[in-house]
Amino acid sequence: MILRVLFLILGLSAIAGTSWLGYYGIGRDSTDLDKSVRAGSAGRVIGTGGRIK
Amino acid sequence: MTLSRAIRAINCTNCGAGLDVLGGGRVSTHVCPYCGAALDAQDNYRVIARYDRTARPDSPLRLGMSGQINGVTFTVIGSIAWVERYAGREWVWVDHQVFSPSHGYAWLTVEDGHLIFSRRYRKPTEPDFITSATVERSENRPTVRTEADKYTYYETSTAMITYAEGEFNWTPMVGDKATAVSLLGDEDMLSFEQSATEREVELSRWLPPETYAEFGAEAPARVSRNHPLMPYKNLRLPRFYLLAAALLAVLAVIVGLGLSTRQGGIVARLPAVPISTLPVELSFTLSDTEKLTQVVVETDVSNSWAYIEIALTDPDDRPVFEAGREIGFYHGRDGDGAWSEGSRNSTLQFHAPRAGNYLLELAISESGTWQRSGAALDRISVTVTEGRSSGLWLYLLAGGFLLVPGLVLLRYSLANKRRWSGSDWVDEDDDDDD
Repeated sequence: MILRVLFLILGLSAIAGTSWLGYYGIGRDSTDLDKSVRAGSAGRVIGTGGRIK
Repeated sequence: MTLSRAIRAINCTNCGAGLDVLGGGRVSTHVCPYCGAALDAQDNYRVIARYDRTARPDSPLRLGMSGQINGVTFTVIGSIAWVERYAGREWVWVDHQVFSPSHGYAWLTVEDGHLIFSRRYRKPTEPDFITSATVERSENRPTVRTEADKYTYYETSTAMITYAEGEFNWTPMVGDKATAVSLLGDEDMLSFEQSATEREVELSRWLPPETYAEFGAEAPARVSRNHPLMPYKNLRLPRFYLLAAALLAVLAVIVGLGLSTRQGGIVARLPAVPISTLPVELSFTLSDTEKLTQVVVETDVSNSWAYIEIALTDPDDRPVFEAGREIGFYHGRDGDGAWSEGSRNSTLQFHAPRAGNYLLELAISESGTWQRSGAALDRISVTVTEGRSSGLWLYLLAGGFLLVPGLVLLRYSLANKRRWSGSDWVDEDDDDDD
């Protein structure tokens, strides 16, 4: 009996959790949007001590 | 001569060997295991035939072994080896006639290591009998109904006796052939057997391997993985879990549909404008940054395509994203009827980084038509909606829930397919697939 109640609780919790994700559209942004935007300096380059030359 | 109950042994009238008498008063033939003489048990054990002794079959059961089957003690009184040859293949099995003083005669068959218990079926069947000719004439798998079950055609086999020893309530002759039409039920098999002299209906059931030990015999080392009479091993998953998983899946789909169909609020709409006016800019204000914002581009492409470039800038005039989408829609008619592929629309979804005024820029970099019937892109419209939700995760969860009953059903389906894999009936559909 406990296992059955646990199964139901887990199932309903999973529905509640995915409903929350779905309601806010989390993980549903289009994946082909190019958000790579150059904003000012290219920044520090790793391994060069911050110097390009 | 009628054998007295007190007589427990006789001497073979051919070779003089001592033979145990185990089989009760209805034994008609006793085949001496030492010299192979078939003796008429109803006529002073007169020799009626002599058989070769070299083809003794390999079986864990031996004459005189006793054991319990369903609470009834049976003794092995006779053994017959059968062979069926078809299309270059050969199937061999051993039938052991068993006897119980209280329950009479039955058969224990050793086949591919499995032990099958068969008894004569005396209750009515519908139809009364099925012959191989009936099967040949039938367009669908023949079926037989009894009081308790429905049986469906499994196979027809014509087998020959290659060896016999011990007592029998009939007269097996080495070289004799018999044809059996077998039909499979839920738990047992109904066989309509016909030889040159008699017809009989038998009901067979698979026995667990422990039955060998019941008879004091050692179970064969090699046992085939599949026998049509092997019982299906249930997963012992209570029906509650199957039902609950199915109901949870339905609930997930309902919630998913609710989220998918949430309209949200339209924040901007560009009515169908001629592409000559492109590029265009569409400004709008977003206030809901928690939920999805959706941009739907609709076109009138027809057997044509266009590559659309979309760019969005935030309230500080910094780019949020750039995207390119090819929209193409093709349709026509061929030998199979009307067809279409592609879409006239394209949808982008994103979470606005913050509330404020946004600017959407729309341009077309390339477009073209397909074949002569293509109509180039002429008009385009855009709708921006905020506060949208998605039902996808719920649909995936519903699929996860359905895996529980789905896997149980799949397992049952595979077991059932394997159970019927030895059937010699080929449905026309199956034949077409090959």
